[in-house]
Amino acid sequence: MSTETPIEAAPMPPIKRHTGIMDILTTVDHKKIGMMYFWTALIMGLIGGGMAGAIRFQLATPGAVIENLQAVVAGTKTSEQVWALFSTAEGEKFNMMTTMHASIMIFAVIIPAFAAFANYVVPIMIGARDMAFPKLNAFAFWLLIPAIILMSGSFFVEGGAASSGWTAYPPLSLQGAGVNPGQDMWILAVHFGGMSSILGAINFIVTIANMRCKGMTWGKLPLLAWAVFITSIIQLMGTPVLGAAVTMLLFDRNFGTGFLDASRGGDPSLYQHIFWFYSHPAVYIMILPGFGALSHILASFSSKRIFGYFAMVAAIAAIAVLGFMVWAHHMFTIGMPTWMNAYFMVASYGIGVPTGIKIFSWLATLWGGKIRFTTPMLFAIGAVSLFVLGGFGGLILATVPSDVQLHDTYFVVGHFHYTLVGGSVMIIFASTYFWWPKMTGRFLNETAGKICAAFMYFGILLAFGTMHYTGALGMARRVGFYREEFTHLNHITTLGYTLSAIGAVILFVSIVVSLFKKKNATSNDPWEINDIQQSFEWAIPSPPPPYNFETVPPIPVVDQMPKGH
Amino acid sequence: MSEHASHHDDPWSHVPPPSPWPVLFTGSLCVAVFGTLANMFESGFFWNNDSLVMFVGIFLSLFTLMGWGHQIIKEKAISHDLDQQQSDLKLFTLMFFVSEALAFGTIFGYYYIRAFATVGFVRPDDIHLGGWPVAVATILLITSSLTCEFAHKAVEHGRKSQARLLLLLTITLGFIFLYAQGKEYGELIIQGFWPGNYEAVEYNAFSSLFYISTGFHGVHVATGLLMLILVWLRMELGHFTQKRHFSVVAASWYWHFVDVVWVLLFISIYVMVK
Ligand SMILES: [Cu+2]
Repeated sequence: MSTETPIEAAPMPPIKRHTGIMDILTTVDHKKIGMMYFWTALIMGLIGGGMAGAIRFQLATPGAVIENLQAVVAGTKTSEQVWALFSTAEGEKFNMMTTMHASIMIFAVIIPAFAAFANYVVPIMIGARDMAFPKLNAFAFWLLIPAIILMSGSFFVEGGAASSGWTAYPPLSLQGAGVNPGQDMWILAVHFGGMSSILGAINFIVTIANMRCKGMTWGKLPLLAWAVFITSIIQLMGTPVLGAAVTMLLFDRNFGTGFLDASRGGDPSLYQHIFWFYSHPAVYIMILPGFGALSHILASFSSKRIFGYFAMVAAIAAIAVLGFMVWAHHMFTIGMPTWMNAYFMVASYGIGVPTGIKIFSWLATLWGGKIRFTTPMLFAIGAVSLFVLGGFGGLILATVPSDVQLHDTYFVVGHFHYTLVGGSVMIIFASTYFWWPKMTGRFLNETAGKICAAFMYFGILLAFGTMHYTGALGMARRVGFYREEFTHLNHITTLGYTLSAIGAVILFVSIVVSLFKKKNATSNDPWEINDIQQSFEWAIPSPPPPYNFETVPPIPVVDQMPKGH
Repeated sequence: MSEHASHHDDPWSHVPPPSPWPVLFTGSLCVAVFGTLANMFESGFFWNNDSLVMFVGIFLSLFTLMGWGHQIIKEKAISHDLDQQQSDLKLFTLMFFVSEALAFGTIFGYYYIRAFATVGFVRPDDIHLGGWPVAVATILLITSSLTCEFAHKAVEHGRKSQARLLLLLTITLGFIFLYAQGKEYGELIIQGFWPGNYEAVEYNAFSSLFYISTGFHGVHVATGLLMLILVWLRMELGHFTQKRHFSVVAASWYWHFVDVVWVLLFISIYVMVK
């Protein structure tokens, strides 16, 4: 507890600030940059979600191809003629869609969306006036724009966008080298996005390590700040590895090197090891900040403090450490030695332990609480349940024998969409509803929000639950066509997609509508939670004034672990 | 009460003014990269002026980066909270080294796995790598690390003429190192040892690794030299005091980092031959 009286505020120094578009271009305020991240993620989310729509509607109506397959069975066409379809423009376009849907959703939606909340909320939570390096913070945001331009622009160049999947495995990703720039643009986009990630991560590490206010010791740091801190360490350590991997790809494609091209002495399977060394931890980059946010939302609307603060922090740290030790569970089918398969299987199971600690701590937070079913709370509870389902799918996939059967089927697609859409995206929605009144001084419509939550939850459950079943029956991913028996299952998945798309549109409309409404969340604590939560962001006006606090935050730092607990 | 009390003693110590440089620098990088890409594919995308666009982009990137640096230098002159700033910057630099180390680590990882655990990574027998020029260059680079450290100490103790001498010595040694490396590249290329030489395709993986590891390191040496030259110029302009000279600290740390990476590279590629 901080008992000192706040020192007198000096007069605000005269700082010339711009307005309108110049303000957006030159601002270094963490709150404005947070909003810029948010809008970028929202708009790219609509585009990436639209691409998912294109994928789903191709898969709902691959009619011509089903007829072709029937023709093969009837003997009126040879299988070669039909097989040729897979490499036609149609098949290629489908693969561009899956590749760019994934790349945009990861690099331009989920990571920036969490960066948005981290930027807006974390400096306030730790009692800082801004990030440690405000200009660098702006730079990290702006670097996303070239990444987005490169990814979106690659559809319009010769040969179209990258179509080798977001994993860009060679030799597939070496196709069209020197002729089609799509894959090279994807690589450069990853470089820009990666640079943005690294600089943002360093900034958060320094901010949280050095800029905490009086009394805000590590043991009192809010869980979102802890999650962002640990996520930043993962980003800092993982992203350079990804950068090196795609640089090897770029050189192999354009400068005649032989890192990964087997015909020139390269080792394509080593690319997979390097790639997944980044990309398994990357899934935690996409979920750990969400775990932090979830803890705040669940505790707030249970009218309790979070259960097991210390265990929660330790679990996040354990997930981060274990995350770097399990990468090859994505590669059980490439022919690794048995001892390696066995190790990666068991180590992957190990991640279930800290994750379980988090899930049970959340349940214990709800237990006996005075629960208020607000929109953020509905999304948060939905996210926990969907993430648990995704986790169980993960256990099945981490088991070598079943993975060999399920590898590259829709089971995998269903599994990671449960965790990334059911988990990350649901938490992003929850956080939007939760912090929007603070960020803008306006509530999003609660009735529409509850309808939105229902559409999202049941849409996700239907779409990706069905995918597990389709995959277990053997439907391959990354192919725009399938055998006739999968038709009904694909229709159900597309229906699920449509439901969740309606949910996403409801959120988007709510956000736009709220901007035209009068400010209706003018109190400091619009959700009336701060008597118990005691978090800085709910003790200052909504939206917060520039530079957040005049001197020190207006309430004392409270202990996260109440006495006698 | 807290270990970070100093930050809030001055209520407006952390009130940064807006800056146009981040967005301008990003835009310039954009121009440079798009120009390079268009150039690589000979697309004529920028009305057949692709290489012009590339060079303009590179020039603008350097210009905007300098503008950014200039604004930071100006701001520091009016800022109050020295300890906080120094500790932020030091942590930033250390974290930056972590990410650099991981990038180099990936290259080392590739090398060790390919060289000692997989097939198809052939080292040429007939081409002689290294030899005494590389050994001498290595010794010179290690020496420059020492001179750089003494230059840093000299700045700390306010001995300007000593610092100048040591800095210029460090810079000279760095340039000699780069010269030696360039000379080795030239000799190897004449012998046909370069990636993409299809007559020696069996060495392609090894030569790729050789050039990317030493080349990536060479880029770091060049960057370090640029930093040291800027440090020298700023010292001549009287920007540093005995307490406030973070650029010197950063440049010398960077130089040590580059040196350590080189020693590891030297041992891995030139000494430890299977
Ligand atoms: Cu994984």
